[in-house]
Amino acid sequence: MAFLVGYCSIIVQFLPALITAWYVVRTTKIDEFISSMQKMHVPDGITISLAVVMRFFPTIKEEYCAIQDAMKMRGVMLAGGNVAQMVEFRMIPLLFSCVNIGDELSAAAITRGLGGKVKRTSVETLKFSALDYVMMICFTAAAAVFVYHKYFK
Amino acid sequence: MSNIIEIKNAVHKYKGAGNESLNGVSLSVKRGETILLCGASGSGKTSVIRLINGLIPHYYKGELTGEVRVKDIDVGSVELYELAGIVGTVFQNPRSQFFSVDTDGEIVFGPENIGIPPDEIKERKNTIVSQMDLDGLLGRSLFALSGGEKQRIACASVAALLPEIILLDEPSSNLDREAILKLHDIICEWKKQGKTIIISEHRLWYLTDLVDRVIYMKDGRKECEWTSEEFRSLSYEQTSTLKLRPTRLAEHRIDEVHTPDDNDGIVLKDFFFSYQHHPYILWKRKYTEADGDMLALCIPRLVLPRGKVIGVTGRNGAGKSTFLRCVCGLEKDCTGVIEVDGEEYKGNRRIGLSYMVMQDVNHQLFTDSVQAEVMLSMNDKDEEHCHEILDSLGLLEFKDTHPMALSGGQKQRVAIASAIAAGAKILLFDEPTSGLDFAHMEKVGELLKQLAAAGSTVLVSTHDPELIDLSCDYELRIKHGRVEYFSSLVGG
Repeated sequence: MAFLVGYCSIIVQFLPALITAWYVVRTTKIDEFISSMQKMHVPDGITISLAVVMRFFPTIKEEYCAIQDAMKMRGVMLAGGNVAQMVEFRMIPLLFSCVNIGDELSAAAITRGLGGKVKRTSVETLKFSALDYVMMICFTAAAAVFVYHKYFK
Repeated sequence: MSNIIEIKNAVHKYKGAGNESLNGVSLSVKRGETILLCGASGSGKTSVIRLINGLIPHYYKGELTGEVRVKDIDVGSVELYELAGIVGTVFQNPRSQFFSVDTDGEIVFGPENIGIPPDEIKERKNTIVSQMDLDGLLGRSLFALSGGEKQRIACASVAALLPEIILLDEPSSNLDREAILKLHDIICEWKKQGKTIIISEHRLWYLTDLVDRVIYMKDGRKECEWTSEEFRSLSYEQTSTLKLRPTRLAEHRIDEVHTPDDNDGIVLKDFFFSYQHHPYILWKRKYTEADGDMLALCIPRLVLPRGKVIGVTGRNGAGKSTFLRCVCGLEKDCTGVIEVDGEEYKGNRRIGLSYMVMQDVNHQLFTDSVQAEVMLSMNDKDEEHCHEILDSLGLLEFKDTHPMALSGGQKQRVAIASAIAAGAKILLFDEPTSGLDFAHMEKVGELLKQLAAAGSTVLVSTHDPELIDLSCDYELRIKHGRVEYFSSLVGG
């Protein structure tokens, strides 16, 4: 019973963070992401690597589906019940194709001037609106109340 | 007027490679010229492109001697981003040259990087969108576009940087005829704007009226040079001895509309499929012919002659891939039944009956040696039979090699070997010759014929009329997921 409560509390505490992350990845254009990070003065190295990670999620999904198909055709989806092989058969082709795509992708991005010393501009103008401030005040207040009551009282 | 590109005696060797990729190449290009680089795979075409856009020596490390100057800038001594506004490159694989996930973001990506003010970027974007007729593609996810559409966006994103020099590295590899003609128009427009264009390409037919000079490369050297008139007048024999694809498209040689013969063939029945679903609660309703326009594939009945090579043609997005995926049972919602020798194969049973060699063959090689790869498909793990199969495909000497260490063509043959080992009666090939030179294409063609002669029915989807010419007995033309015609070919 204690285990179950433990697992449930992990789910309850982590799921909101995962859902938020998923939402951010799904709805943010890479362009917007880069320019917002730049406004926050995050170093370019970090911004670009995170942008590449975001760019890569759909690619990994696409590649993974293709590999699943190939496995289905071969009838090795379960690899005869051998779990290690099940993982191996999925990961090896996936790693190979991701490395190749990553390589070509960086080459293409560099030839179009990514990573230069010039300050990057952006067509997307990002600004805080009134609603953003209201939300920020709400959440800060909630966090303050929570921290105060949990740790200082 | 001095030359805009000046390469002097460049010798280059990739890090870890045995041979030089470039072996003393010299090339001068005048402003506004359009130049075609052709030659067999591995002849150094791509390396020349990389030399000009600076990826060699900045990104692909190796030993380089000689001098490369672009617009009087020494490429080796400047940083890559400084070349971004001068040289633009369209790459071969549309899948891996996008940095954004949406079309708008992709077009403005380059100008943003080099710090152009936002208003000017928007202006450039609008000009390019109207020039290239891209209105219909704006605001879409790049992952939902067809190959041809992706390549047009790639061209637009390069053009948005307003480079004086545009390089295209096998841009048509994944495109159908209509998309290639669109690409032709884009290049034509660039030529009118006075840009210097260098194209490395295997498909030659669409470039004959565009190029000013043609350079034939062999073993990392400039072997010979043709003017556009000389290039146009090359005969089929001349090009094929040089391992080049023909400069003119083969005429279609449709013989007669094929009349299905039930006795001697593989019968496909009720192949209906759609990517949209009917809303359902407990049972999925099967697709039927009555669903009409909703269907992405609608083939009520089709008889495939046994032991023949059948070319599946049609535009990008016409349903060729869907058809192949349904035949080999990957789309489990597809209702189709395959009848061989009076026995019916439905649902999951179709999977064992057929095998597809995918366009990106890397996806279907799982193990650490060629032999293990083939044995994986065998139920009885008979080593001798495995060796026989490998021998027939010329792979026996590689039986202990890691499949990923093989060349593209060899990988393809490993995939075929595992298909034969699995006892597949129908072999499906998805674009087996995209990006191959003529010699390799001939080899694939031979192989297809050999497989058919051994009794398999071979279905091959392709955009290459040359391949159909070389190997196919029948052509199955698909349009909107329906069979447009199915006919035998003369002399095939």
